[in-house]
Amino acid sequence: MQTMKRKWWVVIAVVLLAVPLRAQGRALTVTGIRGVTFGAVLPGVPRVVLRTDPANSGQIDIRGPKGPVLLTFVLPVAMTGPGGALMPISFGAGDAGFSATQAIGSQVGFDPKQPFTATVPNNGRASVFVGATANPTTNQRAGAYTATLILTVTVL
Amino acid sequence: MALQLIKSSTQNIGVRMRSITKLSLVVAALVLTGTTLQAQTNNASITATATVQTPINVVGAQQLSFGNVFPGVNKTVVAMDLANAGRFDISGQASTQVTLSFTLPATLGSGGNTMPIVSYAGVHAQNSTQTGGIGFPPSVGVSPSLNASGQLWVWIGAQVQPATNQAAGVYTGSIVMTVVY
Amino acid sequence: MMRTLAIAVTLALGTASLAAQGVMVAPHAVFIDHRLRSGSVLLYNPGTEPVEVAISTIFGYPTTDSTGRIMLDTLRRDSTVSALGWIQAFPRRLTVGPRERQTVRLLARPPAGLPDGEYWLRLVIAAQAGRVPITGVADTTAIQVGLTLEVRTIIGVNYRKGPVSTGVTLSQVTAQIVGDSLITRSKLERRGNAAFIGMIRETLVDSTGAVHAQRVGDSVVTTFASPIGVYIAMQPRLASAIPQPGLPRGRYWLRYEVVAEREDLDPMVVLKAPAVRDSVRLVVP
Repeated sequence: MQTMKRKWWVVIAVVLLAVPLRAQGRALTVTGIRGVTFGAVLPGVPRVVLRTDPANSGQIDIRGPKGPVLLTFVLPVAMTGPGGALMPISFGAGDAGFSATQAIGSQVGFDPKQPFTATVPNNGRASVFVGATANPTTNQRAGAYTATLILTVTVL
Repeated sequence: MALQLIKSSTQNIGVRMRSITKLSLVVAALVLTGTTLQAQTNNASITATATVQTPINVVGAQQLSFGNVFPGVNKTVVAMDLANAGRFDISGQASTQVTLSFTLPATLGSGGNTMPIVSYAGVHAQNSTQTGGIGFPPSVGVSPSLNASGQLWVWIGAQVQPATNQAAGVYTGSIVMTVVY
Repeated sequence: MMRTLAIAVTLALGTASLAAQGVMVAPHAVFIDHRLRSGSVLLYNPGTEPVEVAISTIFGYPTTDSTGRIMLDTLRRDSTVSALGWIQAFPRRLTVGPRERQTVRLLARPPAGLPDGEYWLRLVIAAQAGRVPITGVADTTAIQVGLTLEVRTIIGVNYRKGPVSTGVTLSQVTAQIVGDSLITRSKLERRGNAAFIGMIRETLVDSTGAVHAQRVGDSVVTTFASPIGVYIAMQPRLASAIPQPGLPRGRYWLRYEVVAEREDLDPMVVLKAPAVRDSVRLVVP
C-alpha cells in the first residue's frame, strides 16, 4: 500500500511537472498589443495606416509552438461613432504582415481577408502587424469611432 | 476509473504493476492530449480607432484677373463675372454663419511702378453659379451662412485705373479674406 | 457646342488646379482641458502646390451687432476670460506640402491660481499659396494685371479648468416674412461659466400643425438649423427662404428652440444644458 502511494505521488508529480513544461513548449498565446490608430480624420479624406507604421499600425503577438500556424482575421467593415454613426474601414491585400522576428521592419505581407499560413520560429515568438484605411464620408459626423479586429491563430 | 484501478491493485502485484503502467499511460495521454488540444487555437482582438474632426476649408479658388489693360483706359471686372472675378470657396458645417472681412490693396505694383485699384464689389452665394447671390461691399464685410451642404462662394470684383503713361509690366497685389468661424 | 464643351473643360481644369490655394483646418473649434494643457489643430493641404501657413493668436469671442450680424468682439483684450497671454501655438510658420498633413500644437501655461472656468482665444491661420500665373497675352509691351487671393481662417480655442457649466436663456423672439424669406431675431444670454455651444432650430407650422418647408441654398429642409456659440450674449438674425410658391394666407407658428447639440463637434466637448424653446405667431395676409 505504501509502495502504491509512493508511486502515485510520483505519477502526480510527473503530471504536475509535465503540464507546465509541456505548456511552455506548446501552449499558444495570442495577445493584442496595439490597435490601429487613425488619429484625427477629416471628412472626405481617406486616412491610410500602413502595417509598417511603428506608431499607428496594429500589432498582435503570438507565443506558441514552433511550426506552422494558420492566421485568420475577422475584420470590421466600419467603425462605430457617436449616435451609431458608421465610418467605412477597408483592408488591402497587403495590409497584414507576419514577422518571425517580431520586428516591424521585417514582415511578410499577406491579405488579411484571406487565411494565411505562417511559421512560428524556434523561439516560439512571432508578431502580426495590421494596417488599414479609414474612409470617412464628406459629411461624416464628428467624434470618436472604434471597431474591433480579431485574429485567430490555429496551430497546424 | 482511477479508484477502481486502485482497488484492483490490491489483488496481486502483477495486476498492480500493469494497472499502474496503464494508469500512467492514460494520465500522460490525457495530459498531453489535453495540453495540445488547448493550445491548438487561440485568438486576440485589437481595436481600430479614429477621431473625426469637422474642418473648415477656405480656398482662394480663382484670382481676380484683369488680363491686359491699356494706358489711360480703366478696366472693370464685376463681381458677377464668373470667369474673371476673384473667387473664394468656403466649406464647413452646414448653415453656419461666418463673418467675412477683407484687406483690399489700394494700388497694385510692378517693380517700382504702381497702379490704382478702386471700386471693390463683392457677391456671396450658396451655389457656384451665383443664383440668388447677394452683393456686398468688401470694405465693410459681411456675415453670410453656409448652405445646407456647408458651402459658400464669394466673388470679388474691382476696377483698375492705369495712367496714360503707365509703364508696361505685370502688376500684382493680394486680396486677403478673413473668415471668422 | 464643341466650343462650349471646351470652355467648360478648361474652366473645370483651371478651377481644379487653382483649388490648391488653402488648407483645411480641423477641428474648427479647439477645446483644451486644464488637466492636459495642450491641444492641436490639423492642417491638411488637399491641393497640388505647397501652402505657406502663419499661425497667430488673438483674443475675441462672437457677439452680434445691431443688425443681428454675428461679429467677433476683439476689444476686451484684458478680459478676465482671455487666454491670450498663456496659450501659445507651435510652430508659428510652416509649409504644408501637397496632400500633406501637419499639426499645430497649442500649449497652455496658465497662471497659478487660475479660477475654475472657461478661457478663450482665437487662432488665426493665414494661408498663402504659390503665386498663380497671370493670364493674358505674353507681350513685353503690355500691361497685365492680376490679384492673388490669401485666406485667413479664425477659429475658437476654449480652455476649460475645473467644473464648467453652461446654459442659455431665450427671449425677444421675433419672426417675419420679408419677401420670400423668413427672418428671425432673438436674444440669447449665456448662463454658467462656459460658452453655450449648440444649435438654433426653427420649424414653421401652420394652424393645423403641418410643417412647412424652408429653403437653405439649394436644399429644402423641414427644420432650419444653425450652429450657435453664445459666449456672453447675442441677438442673432437668421434668414431662410420660403420655397415657391410661398406661404398661403393664414396663421403660422414659428417654433424656435436652442439646444446644446452639435453634430460637427465631438460630443465629449459639447457641454450639456437644457434646451430652451419659444413660439411666435406669424400672419400671412
